[in-house]
Amino acid sequence: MVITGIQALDNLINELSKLPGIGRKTAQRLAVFILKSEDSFPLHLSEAIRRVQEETRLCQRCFNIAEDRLCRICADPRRDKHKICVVEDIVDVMAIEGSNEYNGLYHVLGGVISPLAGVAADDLRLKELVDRCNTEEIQEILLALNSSTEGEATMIYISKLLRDKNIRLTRIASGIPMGSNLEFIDTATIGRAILTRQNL
Amino acid sequence: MFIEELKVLNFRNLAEQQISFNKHLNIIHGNNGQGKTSVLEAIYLIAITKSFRVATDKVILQYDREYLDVSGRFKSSKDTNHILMLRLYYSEREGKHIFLNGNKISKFSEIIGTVPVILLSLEDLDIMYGLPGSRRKFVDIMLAQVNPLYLKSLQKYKQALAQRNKLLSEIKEGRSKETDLQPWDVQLIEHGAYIVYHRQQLKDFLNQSITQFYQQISDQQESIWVRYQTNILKNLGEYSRERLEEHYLQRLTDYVSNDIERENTLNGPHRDDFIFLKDNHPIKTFGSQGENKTCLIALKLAESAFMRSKIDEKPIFLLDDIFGELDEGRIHRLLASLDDMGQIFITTTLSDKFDHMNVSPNQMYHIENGMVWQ
Repeated sequence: MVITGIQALDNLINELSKLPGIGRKTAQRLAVFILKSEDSFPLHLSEAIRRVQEETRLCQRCFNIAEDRLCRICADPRRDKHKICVVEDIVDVMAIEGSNEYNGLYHVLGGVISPLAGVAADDLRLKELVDRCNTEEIQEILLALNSSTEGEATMIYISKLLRDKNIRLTRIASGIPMGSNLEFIDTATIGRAILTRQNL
Repeated sequence: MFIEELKVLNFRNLAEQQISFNKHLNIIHGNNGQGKTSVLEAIYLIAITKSFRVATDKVILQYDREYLDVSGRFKSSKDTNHILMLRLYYSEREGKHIFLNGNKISKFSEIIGTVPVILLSLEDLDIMYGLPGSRRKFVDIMLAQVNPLYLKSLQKYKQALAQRNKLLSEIKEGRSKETDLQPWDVQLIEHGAYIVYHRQQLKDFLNQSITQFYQQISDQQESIWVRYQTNILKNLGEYSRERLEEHYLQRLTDYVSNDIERENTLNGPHRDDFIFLKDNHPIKTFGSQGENKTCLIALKLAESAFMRSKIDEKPIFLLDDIFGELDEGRIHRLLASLDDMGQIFITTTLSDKFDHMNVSPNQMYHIENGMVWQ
């Protein structure tokens, strides 16, 4: 698409606007920023982009992002090797790691079941999860998928898959966000939280 | 709740003006195209934040104008010291903004239900004559207004249903296994049973009062009964959600090969219907137009009672041009039965129909060229 008529600039704008959350206006602003920046910046940026794919791969065990055969979490001897947290995508690993509350391993499914989106159970890394349950000493599987209809269906599917494995199956709780005022929370969330209340 | 004063600027074909209303009855009469329905629409708009006539906001703006501004002063029917100011501002450039007592509201859903409104227009005859979908929609809106979890369940149910139907096609084409249905069935059953449970309860509530409302208007000893039909249960009256879930599971299991063959889920609340019976006969086919209309009005009165039982405020009743097929006796008795209903607005082209009624001159409003006169 011709925007400025200068081929190199248009090309950059077009490439940038393929990024998620970047519209044409933002792509233009970024491109002009790069155009005006110090000599070294475009080189560093393009080098960083090149390296991110060349120097990373998926962890052979959990399919998290890794530099070696195993990711940092799988390779870390201090992690609890008896627990697996099942997540949809790599960004979910980052989110849970940010909380510093979880000390076990992960398993990245690479999606959730959705016939409408053409994703079947076989397209997810479920066989690999079952293999891990058979070969590793797993005591607990924590399902941390989004509570969408598709996430729910995937959790139901997994729980059926692992039912007779003598492994504790848990799922993350849902309800009132931390530090929020009850009066500002939508009534459906409050209703849900009341239905799933806990003993003190 | 009742509206004491309405201010309109650049709204539809209404002239810029400030109208004071009665606490109880307000009859707006005038010829076609003078703006009767627009007055009701303006009240509905500030209470519900959406028009009942059109889906986009653009059309309600007066032709050639930059913005519109509608505001109303409301009072609680329980405590008249409790005053509520609602204002809606819209321009094509800035979009829609809503203010409650001068403060801007960021989420429109927060004010839904603050001023409960019930609208009855000729389009509502779809509830009587239309397809089952229009009756489910009527019931769903009623339940969702008082129970947000019902709305959530309804959305989840629809999503799970769409996924399941897609999967049925894939199973038929041999690309998926029958056992893949289970995760979707579990969710259909959970949310489906929740929906059926609440629809049953609503049906019971309606049946407590609808006959009485109908008789008040018709002045005859007919009985009206709302029958709830759901294919997950042959015999209704079975109440607990657990039992409903069991029945639904059984039904899905029994029909799985039919479902696959038809590539469609044949059972569940998405196939529900409500049948209105007059003396045990479906009023849709056996009743006259007037009787169907009377039944619709009785249903709306029962809706009003339902809202009052849940939110403890009398709703504002908007009756848009519904007196066509009703005889004077029925209109008279309708007005009488509306007596303890809170605030009522009636639009009509036939002001003479009210000549012999107990209507005082200050309850009559005449509208011409978008201007309301008392």
